[in-house]
Amino acid sequence: MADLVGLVWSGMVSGCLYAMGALGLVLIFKSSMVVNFAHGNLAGLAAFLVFGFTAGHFAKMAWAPAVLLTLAIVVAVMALSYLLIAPLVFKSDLTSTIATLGVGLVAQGLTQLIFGSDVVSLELPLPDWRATLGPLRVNAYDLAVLGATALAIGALYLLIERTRIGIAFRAVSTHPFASRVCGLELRRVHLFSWVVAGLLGLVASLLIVPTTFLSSTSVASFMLQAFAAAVVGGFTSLPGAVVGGIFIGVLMNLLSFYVSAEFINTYLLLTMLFVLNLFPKGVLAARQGARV
Amino acid sequence: MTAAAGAAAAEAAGAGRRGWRWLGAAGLLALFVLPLVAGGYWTFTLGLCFANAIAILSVSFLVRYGGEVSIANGVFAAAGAYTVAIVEKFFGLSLLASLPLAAVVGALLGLAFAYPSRNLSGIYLSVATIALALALPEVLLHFPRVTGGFEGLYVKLDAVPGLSKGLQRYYLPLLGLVAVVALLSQFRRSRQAMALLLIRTSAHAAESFGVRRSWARLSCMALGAAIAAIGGALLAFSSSTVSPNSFTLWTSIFLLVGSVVSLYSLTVLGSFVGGAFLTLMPLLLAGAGDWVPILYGAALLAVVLGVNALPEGWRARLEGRAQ
Amino acid sequence: MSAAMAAEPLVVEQLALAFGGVRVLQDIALELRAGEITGLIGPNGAGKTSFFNCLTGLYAPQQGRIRLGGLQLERVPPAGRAALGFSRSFQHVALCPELSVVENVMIGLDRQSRAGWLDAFLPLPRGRAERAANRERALAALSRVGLAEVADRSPTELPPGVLRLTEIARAIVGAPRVLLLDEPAAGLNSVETRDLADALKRLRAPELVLVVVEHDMDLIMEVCDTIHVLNVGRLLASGTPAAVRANPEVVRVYLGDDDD
Repeated sequence: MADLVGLVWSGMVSGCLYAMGALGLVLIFKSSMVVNFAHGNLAGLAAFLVFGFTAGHFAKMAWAPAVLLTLAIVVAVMALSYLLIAPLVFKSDLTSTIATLGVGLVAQGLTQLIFGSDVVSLELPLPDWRATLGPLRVNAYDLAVLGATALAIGALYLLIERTRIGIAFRAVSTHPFASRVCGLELRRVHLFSWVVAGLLGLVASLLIVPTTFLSSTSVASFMLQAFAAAVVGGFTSLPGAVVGGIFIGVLMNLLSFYVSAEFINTYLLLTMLFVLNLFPKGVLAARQGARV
Repeated sequence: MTAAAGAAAAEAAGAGRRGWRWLGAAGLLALFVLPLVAGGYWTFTLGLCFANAIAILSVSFLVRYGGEVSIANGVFAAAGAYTVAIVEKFFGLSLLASLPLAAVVGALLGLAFAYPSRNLSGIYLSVATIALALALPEVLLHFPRVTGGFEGLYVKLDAVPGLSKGLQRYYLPLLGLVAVVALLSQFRRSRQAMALLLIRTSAHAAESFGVRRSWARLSCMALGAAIAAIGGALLAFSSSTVSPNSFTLWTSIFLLVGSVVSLYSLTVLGSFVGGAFLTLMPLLLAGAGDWVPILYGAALLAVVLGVNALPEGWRARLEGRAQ
Repeated sequence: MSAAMAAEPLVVEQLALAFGGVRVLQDIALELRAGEITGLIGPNGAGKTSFFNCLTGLYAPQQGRIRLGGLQLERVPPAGRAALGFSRSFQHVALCPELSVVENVMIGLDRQSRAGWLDAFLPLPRGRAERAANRERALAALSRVGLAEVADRSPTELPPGVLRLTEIARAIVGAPRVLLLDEPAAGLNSVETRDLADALKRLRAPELVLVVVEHDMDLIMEVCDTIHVLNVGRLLASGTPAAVRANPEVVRVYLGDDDD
């Protein structure tokens, strides 16, 4: 029983990270109808940049300035990625998705080129605090993740519900053509969603790193869980991404422990197929008209 | 467009096509006599090229007939490759026996994946294919007695007695490529192909004529998987080994890159260009392996953006429309 | 198809269709006869397309019966009705740009074709013979609508009038018993509408029930033998073109004075 509680708890914690990754994917998809297959590689590159700035590869900064500098670079990189594939957006989902694969390959290559294929460890500046609440063991990392996720979701909610760009985003994701007719600048909304997605991805990848080592492929493989979360929750639903993330986090933990830890990707595949057969567009999918 | 102008355009298009056909025939002839002048290194490398070209054809086939981006064709290729290796290990039979079996295994695996995913469209299907590609190594490594685990298996048996090993590993994949292209060309004229093409344009219209979406998805995936399995089988034969490392998610992604670079071509020349790009690039960059993903990614972007920037008429001709 | 079955009408009795609380069709009773062209007109929202959808099985009416000759159709799903000989065109042209015109028409014969997967990949005699026969039938259908000379062209090069006629050829190539055309003249200019009218008149056949939904009054009046008028889901009037044109109710509701 204690095992179960602990598994569910840690599943929820990692689920928060998948949720953040999934939120990024859904943001991009809702506004520009593109599945960003480069998400994992770009987030991994960002994590490596933080490593580079703090561990001496480029400089030996303190954490806060390193993260801020990386945030700025992420904004630039995401904007550049979007502008690169901008001519394809709206013309064909197939080709824009393939183009994001191209971006992902380039990001992967850059990571390998600059940082090599070695595995490095990236320590988060967290205090060594832990506590026990009955059968539950909680430490600083858990609280950091939960806190960061709550902040991110709260900020995103405020952005989307209360700011002008957020309202524009909602309009565009419901009906891009009508939005354009009303004068909304689609490119600005797309850039908004791509940049925010990149920032979410950076936070998620920084927080996932302590649980695994950082290598040129580790973040990308974590992204499959984020994809699964987005798929399960419905690629068109932001709350769905959060629900999907927690669901996948807990489910993967339980399956690894009670069945076998060798088959994470197989579980993800089976889960996706199972859920999508019951709910063809995800559990919380928004009603969407057909794209002609 | 007046009748006269239309007829003139059709005549010009026909001449253009005949020109390409002559070029293709000349290229094919050159490939057939190449081993007489080139050394063992080239025949070995080109053999791999041809096998990769077949695997790339499977991706192009799925794009053209199914409208789907599959990032799992490496899995089906692996099925074909492992079939050949396992048949040799446990039954002692050569490629001649295991190649047809590989195609069947591929088709069955394609059906097994297509059935639960038959209602998934576009993005959901692509993500499911990624999961399939990542799940494969887990399964392969779980049965090391059969699959050889990390180290994999060898494929050593000759298929054609009398012909030298090197030549076999060149001509069999080449013949395989030509055969697959010929079969696909014949397929284009069939009613099944026409039904698949129509259902891509308008599902409603196709369904009102009795063409069901689930039939279309299952057929496409089974055929695509069978083609990939044939490619994988010949790849195993050409390279003499199979291991989980040869069939990772990267494999599937690179097959997609090759397919895009070949402009989803279903011809010998086109798929060969894709296969050559895929096989030769890592060799040319043999000291600087880290540049491979960057080059593939850049090539992908260049081709996709480049084709997008072409005027509509050129693009239609490239993509084989307006026949 | 025996001659005895050939000339059966499509009879609709007390048909009612509702979505939620909205009554789309009420109390529809009419007989669509074979060997003539029947028009179905009415203002937008009158329920014409919904009526078509009931006929083809896409919608299931809450009440009423539909029978083809002696055969009751309520329980027959769309695929089954298609097998019985129902064929329809759609409001938006749905041709495949990667197939030639004649290949697009040949798809109308897919259901009746027997060639299997082996024939698909190998040039076996049986497959080739069937393909040649299908091509002949498709060319014949194209001739009936006047399009024989564009058979091998691509739809991307042809004007919308020709595409609409191609769709009709596709709908008739399988020798259907019931042909439903949904606004075939939409988007066509006057010349193309003229060609369409001529083609429709050539389609009249003793074993075919042909129903056309249209807004173009000149086309309907010229081509149809019988006209039914729908308004807010009810049958307003039925009769010959002259009778309908003279009906004051119809004139008020639909044919209109200045405010239409």
